[in-house]
Amino acid sequence: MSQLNDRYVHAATRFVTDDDERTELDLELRERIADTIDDLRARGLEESAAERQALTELGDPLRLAAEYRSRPMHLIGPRYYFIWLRLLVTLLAIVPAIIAVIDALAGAGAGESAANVLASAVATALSVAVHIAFWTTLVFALIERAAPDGTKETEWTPDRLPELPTSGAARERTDLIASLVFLVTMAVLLVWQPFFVGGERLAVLDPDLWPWWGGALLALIALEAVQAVWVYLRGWTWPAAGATVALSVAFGAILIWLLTTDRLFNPAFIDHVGWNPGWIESATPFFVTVAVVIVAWESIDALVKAGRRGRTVSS
Amino acid sequence: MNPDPAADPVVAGHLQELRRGTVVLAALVALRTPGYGYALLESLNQHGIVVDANTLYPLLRRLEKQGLLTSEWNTEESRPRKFYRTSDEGDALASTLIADWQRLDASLRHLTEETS
Repeated sequence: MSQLNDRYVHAATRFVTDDDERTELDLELRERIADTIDDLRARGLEESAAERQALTELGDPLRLAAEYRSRPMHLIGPRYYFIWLRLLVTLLAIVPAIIAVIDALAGAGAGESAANVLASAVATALSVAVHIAFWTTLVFALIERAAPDGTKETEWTPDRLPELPTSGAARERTDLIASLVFLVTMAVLLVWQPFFVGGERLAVLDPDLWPWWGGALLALIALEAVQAVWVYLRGWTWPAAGATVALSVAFGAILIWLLTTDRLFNPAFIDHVGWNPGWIESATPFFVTVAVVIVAWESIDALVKAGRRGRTVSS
Repeated sequence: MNPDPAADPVVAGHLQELRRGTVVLAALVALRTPGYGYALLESLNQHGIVVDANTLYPLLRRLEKQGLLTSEWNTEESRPRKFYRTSDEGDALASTLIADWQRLDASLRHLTEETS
């Protein structure tokens, strides 16, 4: 037998780890190739031409081995494709944004310039996205190979259907009222700060915040109210979700920045309540985490709602 | 003469789908007498069951894995060859498939008579 034939059999069998299976496949392929060559030679082909044609008909050796061994020839098959897709889209919509916000806050806390903070946040988000895509896909590719034949994909039930865009009108009105009440309460608290000590008003927040930082927070609250009405009128469009994320991040960033630079609370108030500075310092990471979680939650909620709406509108 | 209808890729695809199951049935029936891959390929093609080597060889392995065929290496001839033979389960499946084939044939005939 010529070298070409041996090379083909080697190429087709070299990744079969089980010895018995490899020997069997080796013998079967040699039988098939020899029979094919005999047939082609009986039709008048010369030996080397017959061998070439026989191997050409067999095709790519790895593909042939996969077919013989009933191995999947796809990375992720129909069993897991949609679970993989849903999970990947959900993770990509949520995780890079959260990590980018945390990265930006850490950079801002360390006193980096705005350009550096932004560049680092974008780079971090991109690298997180690549990691998510790679590892998710890898895990599903392994599951595809490890799961025994006939494993059913997770059961789908009609309960999983997304809401129609119009059916939630009543709920959207409740959402609007709740947001407006909440925002007005926040604005009133921010401006008036009804914390009284012996008949005298004692501001919880640092009076030095006014006019600029207080004004900015008030403006953001006003914008959030406009945004809530916009969402009520137009539904959760992608621009609306984007605006929610932007407002939420801005609000969180200002609060965290003020907190970490000790400008948020009124020193007189801190004195009065008896908090000691060390306690505030050690509690800062906790407050920052809470703020990040709230910002992330709001952003995710907005993106998920926009995604859901997009799906119902396009289907 | 009309051009070969099977040259149209859409027609060819549907023909292939229609014939897919018949190769299994033909192999189960033919291998009641033991045979090896290339001989079966030629005999099926001679009987008008068109099948490609790249389909038939993996199919034989799959049927063996499902217990519908049994195999044995024959080393008496010039080169070792794997001889397949239809098992009892394979025989039972062949009978089931033939019965279904005849039922489908009858149904299609009724349908064509009604609609023509």
